[in-house]
Amino acid sequence: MCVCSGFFFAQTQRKSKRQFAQGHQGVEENLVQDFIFVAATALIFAIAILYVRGCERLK
Amino acid sequence: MTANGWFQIFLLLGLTLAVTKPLGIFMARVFSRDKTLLDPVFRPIEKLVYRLTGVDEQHEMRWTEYTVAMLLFSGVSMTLLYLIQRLQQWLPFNPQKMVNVPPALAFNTAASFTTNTNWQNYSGESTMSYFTQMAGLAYHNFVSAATGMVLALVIIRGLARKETDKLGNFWVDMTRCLLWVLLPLCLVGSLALVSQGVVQNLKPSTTVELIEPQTVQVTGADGKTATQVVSQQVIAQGPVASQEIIKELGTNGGGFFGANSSHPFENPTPLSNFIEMFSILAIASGLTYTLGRMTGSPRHGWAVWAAMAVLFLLGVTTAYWAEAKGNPILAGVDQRASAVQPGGNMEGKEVRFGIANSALFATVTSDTSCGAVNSQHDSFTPLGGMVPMINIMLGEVVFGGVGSGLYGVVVFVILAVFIAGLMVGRTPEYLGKKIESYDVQMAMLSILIMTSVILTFSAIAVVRPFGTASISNPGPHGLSQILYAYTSMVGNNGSAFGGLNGNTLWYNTSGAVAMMLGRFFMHIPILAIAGNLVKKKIAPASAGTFPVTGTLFTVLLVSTILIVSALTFFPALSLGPILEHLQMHAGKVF
Repeated sequence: MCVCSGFFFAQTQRKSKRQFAQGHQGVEENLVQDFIFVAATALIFAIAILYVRGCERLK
Repeated sequence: MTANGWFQIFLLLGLTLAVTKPLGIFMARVFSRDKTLLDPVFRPIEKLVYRLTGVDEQHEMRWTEYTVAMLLFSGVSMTLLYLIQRLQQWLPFNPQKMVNVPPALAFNTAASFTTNTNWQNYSGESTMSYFTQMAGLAYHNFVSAATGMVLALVIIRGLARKETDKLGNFWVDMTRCLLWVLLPLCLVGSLALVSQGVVQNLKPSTTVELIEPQTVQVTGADGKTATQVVSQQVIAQGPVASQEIIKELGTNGGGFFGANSSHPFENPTPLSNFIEMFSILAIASGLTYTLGRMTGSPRHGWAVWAAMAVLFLLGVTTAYWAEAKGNPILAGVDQRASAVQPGGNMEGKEVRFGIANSALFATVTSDTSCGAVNSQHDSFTPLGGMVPMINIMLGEVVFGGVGSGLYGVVVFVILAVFIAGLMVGRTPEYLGKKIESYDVQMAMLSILIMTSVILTFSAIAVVRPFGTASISNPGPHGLSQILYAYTSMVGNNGSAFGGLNGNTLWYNTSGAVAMMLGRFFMHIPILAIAGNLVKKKIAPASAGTFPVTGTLFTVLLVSTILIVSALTFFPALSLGPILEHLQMHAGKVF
């Protein structure tokens, strides 16, 4: 469930359209964050696979 | 509390009971590859899928191979969802011209939908394009639900098979689950919802002139307040019904709209509300019979179902009583139910659902790992709001999420028979399989992961400004908001207590990690148990075997679930909702 449903829908719609026009700005800044989050995802799943091996060896 | 309210509660439980056996038999046949009525339609599609993807349907996997396949599938799917959100403004089906989702929010949402949590730090109608909703979020609603179901199947096979190390094929189980179970049920269910008025289209939002323009106070960027006349309303549209039904059937819970199932386009009538609650419970309930049938002990399946039903009734009775009783602070105000008012505490509830259906929906959505809501849990009385929180803390084993409820309850069954074995001084057995120290270690590891992640993240959030800055109420209610948030995320429920601003860097990133730990790091020990059980012989029952079929077992199972949860979370609950309840009766609210 959304935790911010109290926002005025019309306001966020206008904000969204305004942001769309400015969409290309800040793309480069976000690329660094994209890299971090994709790497974090890969890291967590890699740890999970190691965790599988650990659980097997515990036997 | 009214007779009508109780009638609806027992009607829901009765219908759930009625579908348990037929649905359970059907799923057992699908997963055992027995013939079903749907074979002429889906078998050719299934074969085509395997031919295109190169899957060998005869290949059986060990638990480690099965688990790694599940992890890789989830990891790739999560990355794809992240990329869809980050690129949505350049992708099709975006009539509202939504911009790309910010990175931290996209990370949280990708983790949320991959883990079947569907925690949403956004409003769907003003953030996600139709492409993201359909190809990203609805896709995950199907596959994350199917993932939970096939993992339940693995633990059932671990109990049913003997002296082997093979537990099935992840890709085959996923394909059969999607084709035979989820897609047909969703097709029927979405048409039922459309008949009630749930919208299903690809139109852009509709702008209409208000009959009565409204004057509102708005705060500008400079901080100054100004008066503004609002004369138009934007009405969101979209492919809602198709997403709504899998949201319930797959116990996902992520709403197309921010207001979730309290939005009139998602849940327009009391009948649609009933269909949604029934959809949430149906598959999870059916899986208890699948457990009994595939292990050759249908009475065990019913004993597990009975334990779930007892806990369900405990929860809904408490929530209904607390909400129907009303707010003691409003002394002198008529809060009794009558022909002209629903009575009780109606704050945060939809008039078309009233007290009974709001309390019932809150119980159903938190007993399972659904997380859809038709009312604001934040506005419930302290004890009423504590019920959904406790339900999630129990591990969502009261019917539970599709699949996750079943393998969660099997962990408690293992603990219960272990305790029974200790009491009578015999090696514990479960359906003829001896329960050894490794099985109990893995069961405890699974339970402790959930507990430690919830309490650790909550503890950090309540003492650091980046955590407390997001709460909207001080005191015990603020603690409840934070505790509920991490309980919901780690438990892969996704319902929000409300009042907490989750769209911050801290809550987006810590929440994403919490959801992944709560899903995958809890699954792995359970799959390890399945891998260990499947190798064992099935010993015939003897005079000293603790039966897992009767009333005694049901009572022991309920007690184990309640005691483990109560010991773990009571200190935190006593500082949150229990303290708030006592303060409320002393005349203080937060």
